[in-house]
Amino acid sequence: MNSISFGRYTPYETFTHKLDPRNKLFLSIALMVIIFFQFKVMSTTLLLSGIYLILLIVLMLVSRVNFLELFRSLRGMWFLIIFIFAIYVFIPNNSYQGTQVAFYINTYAVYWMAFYQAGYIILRLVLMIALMMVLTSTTKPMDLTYGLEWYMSPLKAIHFPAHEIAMTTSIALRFIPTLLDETTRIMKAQSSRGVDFNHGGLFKRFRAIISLIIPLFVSAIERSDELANAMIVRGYNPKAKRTHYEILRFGTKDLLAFIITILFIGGIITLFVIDQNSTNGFDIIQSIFHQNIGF
Amino acid sequence: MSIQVKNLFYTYLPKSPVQTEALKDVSLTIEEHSFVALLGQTGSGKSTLIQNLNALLIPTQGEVIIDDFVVTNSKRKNKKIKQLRKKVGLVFQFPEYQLFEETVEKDVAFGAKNFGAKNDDALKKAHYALKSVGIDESYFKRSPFELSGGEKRRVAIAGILAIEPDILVLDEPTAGLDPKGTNDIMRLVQQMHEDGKTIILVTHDMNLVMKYCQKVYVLKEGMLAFEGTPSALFQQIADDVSIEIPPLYRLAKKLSDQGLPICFEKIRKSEDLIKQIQDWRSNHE
Repeated sequence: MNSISFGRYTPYETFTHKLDPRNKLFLSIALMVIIFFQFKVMSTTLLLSGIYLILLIVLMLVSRVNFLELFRSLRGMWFLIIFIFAIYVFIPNNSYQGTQVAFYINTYAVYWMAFYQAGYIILRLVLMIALMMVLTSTTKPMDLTYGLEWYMSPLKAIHFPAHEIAMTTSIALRFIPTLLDETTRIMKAQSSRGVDFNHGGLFKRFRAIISLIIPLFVSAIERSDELANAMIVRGYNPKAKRTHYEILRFGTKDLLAFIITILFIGGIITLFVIDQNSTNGFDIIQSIFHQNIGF
Repeated sequence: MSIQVKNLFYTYLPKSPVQTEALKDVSLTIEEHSFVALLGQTGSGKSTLIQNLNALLIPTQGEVIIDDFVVTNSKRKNKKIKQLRKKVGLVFQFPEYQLFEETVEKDVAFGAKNFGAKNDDALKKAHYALKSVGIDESYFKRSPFELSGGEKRRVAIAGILAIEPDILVLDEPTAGLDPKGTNDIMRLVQQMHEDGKTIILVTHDMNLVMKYCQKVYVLKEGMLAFEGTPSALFQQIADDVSIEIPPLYRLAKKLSDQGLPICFEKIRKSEDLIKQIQDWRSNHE
């Protein structure tokens, strides 16, 4: 039983679950890149972010990702969010000059633009987290590492240890829940010996953490030693040519998802290029509705 | 200083999709100075129950009363919980994993120090506890990580003994030990019982239950399924998955089926059975 459940794999059989991990990895990274495009015109950026948000919500619904988890992860970031707002609002920025002023603190002008910028950063962060959640909750960690291994395999030509890295990563992932269980176990054992992990001064807390960390390291090292022995006994050789129990397949569904996503990304990139090359930027709302509602 | 568990419920991760009711309406009373066993299959709630006994887990519903300590969901006073943990010493399964200090004596003294003993006093308690588990002075300054498995286990148990609890809860203290190690540990536990401590033993080894325990509690799917003496338990159940009737009891049962009058309550070791047979023979000659 542990409390860390963010983005954990959920064993459903949705469309997204069935996609090839290599495909999902590539598309997620590509989508993440376009999320970070900032257009010259604010309304375009906002509108596109809104579209991304809606599409991601649809994707999360399709993949049966738990929305509560997304909110929970945001709740954990409250400090970061406040920090971002504080930086944007209280650090003077010349580019805001001439825009609307929200209010004054003594003589210091706080611009709406600052709020907009901070909000936009947080929105991008949320979009990225949601995207990562879709990826990790629909893909088994092992499949992800196989996917990564596949991308790294051309590097084997220059003696890059792609397989070794993938193996190490998958073992590390495999042991996260084990180590979490171990942590709670040791914490309880030490609590029985009178350690208080939640109260006391800095020094006491430090002592408490030591009494947790040393046994945790010892058991992790012992475990890895045992695992290494077990692997050697079964003839593991990192240099050997390996086959996989589950062969990754790029099927029709993957092709479909790939084409749709690439078309979408292509569209956004086209818009971005137009925007960057025109002097005033590309105002999507103006060009559709022939109205100017810009800021 | 009896332990009273009243209508105890415990739910892991309540109100989440993975919530599990580990304990459902468990009520039991454990007498002072008694030696009892807690039995049940893996996942039956034994570990949850013992963790409720020293407030590592707080009951979802119901209460645990030990002396004047009452642990319930509503009253959570951490200061008192610490005193309770001093009273109820909990030895986890594979306790050797909790060792961390540089030397054996420091590690054993760690618990005593946490509960307020001064350095010298804690060391004195540690030395006493180490001697009582059969670790001699030449080990005191060694690193606990150099010891063998059985020695580590005994040092870890000494770490709890140094706290000087009145109630000792042991979660499968003999798991993974060889017969000699098992005997050593059980003799130690028996000694502590004779010194006046209340012992609660979680185990799967029915031979130990038969030999040492006065009373057994069987948990099944989070509920108390049986409460009584070991021989009453063996009489009542056929071979269960988790409860295997010990060979000695089976032999006594066979003899009793053949017409030999056997008092099951008095049989703990093979010597007890032999004595009964001898008595029977001398009465018939």
